[in-house]
Amino acid sequence: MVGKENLRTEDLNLCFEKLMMVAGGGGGGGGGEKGGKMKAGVITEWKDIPVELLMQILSLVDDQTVITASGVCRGWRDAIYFGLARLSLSWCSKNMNNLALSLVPKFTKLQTLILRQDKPQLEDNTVERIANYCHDLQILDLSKSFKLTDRSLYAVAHGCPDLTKLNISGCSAFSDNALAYLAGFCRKLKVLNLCGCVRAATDTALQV
Amino acid sequence: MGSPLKKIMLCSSEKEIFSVEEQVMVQHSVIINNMIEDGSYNYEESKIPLDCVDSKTLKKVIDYCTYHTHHHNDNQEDLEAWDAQFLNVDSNGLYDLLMAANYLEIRNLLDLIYRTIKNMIKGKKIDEIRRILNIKDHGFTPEEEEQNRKEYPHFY
Repeated sequence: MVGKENLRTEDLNLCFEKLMMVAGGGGGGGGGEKGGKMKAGVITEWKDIPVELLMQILSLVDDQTVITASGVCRGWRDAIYFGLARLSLSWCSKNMNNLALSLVPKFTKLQTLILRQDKPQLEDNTVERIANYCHDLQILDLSKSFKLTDRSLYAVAHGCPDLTKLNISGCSAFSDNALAYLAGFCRKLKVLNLCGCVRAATDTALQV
Repeated sequence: MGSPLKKIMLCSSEKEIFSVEEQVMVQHSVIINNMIEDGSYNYEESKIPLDCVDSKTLKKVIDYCTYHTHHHNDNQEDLEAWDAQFLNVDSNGLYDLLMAANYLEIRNLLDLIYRTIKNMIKGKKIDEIRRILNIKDHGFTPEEEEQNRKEYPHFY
C-alpha cells in the first residue's frame, strides 16, 4: 500500500489517483492503463479478484475447497498454483497417492506439505515427483507412509534443501544410511520425528 | 479523532457527492483516518475521489460504517443479524463491496465479507462455485477444461 509520507507530501487528488493505479494494476487483468478510470474501462468481477484477497479468503477454508477453487477459473488457478504456501492432503482417505502425484507438483511455492495417512497410500514415485517440483518445502509430513523406501529420502535430500521439519514417524522402511544422507543435504533440518523408524534411528544417522 | 459534527465529502465514480459524518469514516477506514490525521483534507474544498467505487456501493459502505459507529454497543447477536441482512446482495454486489472495503481499508467490513464468502464456497464443487459467484467466463481453453474434468471428476 502507499505509505503515509505520500499522503502528507502530495496533493490529495493526485495521491488518490496513485492509489487507484495500485488498485487497478493489482488485478492482473491488464486494465490498469487508465489509472483512476478503472471502473469505467474494465468491469472486474470474481474471476479478477486480486491474488492477496483470494488468498485471504482461502486461508479460511479447508484444503479440499482450496483445491476446488484452483479449478474455478484461470485467474484463480494461477493465483493458487503460485501463491499457496501450505497444503494438506490428509483428509484424502482414498486415492491420495494419485491426487498427490498429479496435483502437488503444480503448487510449486509450497512451504508446508502434510501427507500424513491413516491408511498407507503414498508411493516413492510420488515423493520423487514432489521433490522435483516443490523446492521451497520447509515442513514435510510423511508419517505412516509404510510403502516408502529410501528412494523417497534420496529425492527429498536433493529436491528440498530448505527443509527444517520432517516427520517420517511410522515409515519403517527407511534405512540408517539414507537418513544420514538426507541430513547431509538438508542442513537446515531442525526437527525430525523418527517415531517407529526401527531401522534408522541409530547413532550414525543422528550424529549428522 | 474528529468532532462528531464535522462532515466530509466522498465522491463516487459517477461523480455523485456523499456527505458523511467525519467520525463515521475515520473510525472505519484506515485510508480516510490517515488523511484526516495528517491534515491533507481541506474541509472547505476537498472531495475525496473514489473513482473505483460506484454510487450504489459507496452508499452501502457508508450505511455499514454509520450503523456500526452508532450501534457498536448493541449486543453481538443483533449486530450479526444486521450484518447478514446488509450482505444480502447478489454476488456482483458482494464483489463490489469487497473491492470498496479493500480500497478504503475498512477492516471489519473486509473480515465480514471474507467470512461470508468462505461460507458460500466451503465444501462446494467447481460448477457450484462458478454458479454462486456468477463466473461465466472461466478462461480455460476447452481442452484444458475437458482435461480437468477428466482428471478430477470429484471436484466438479
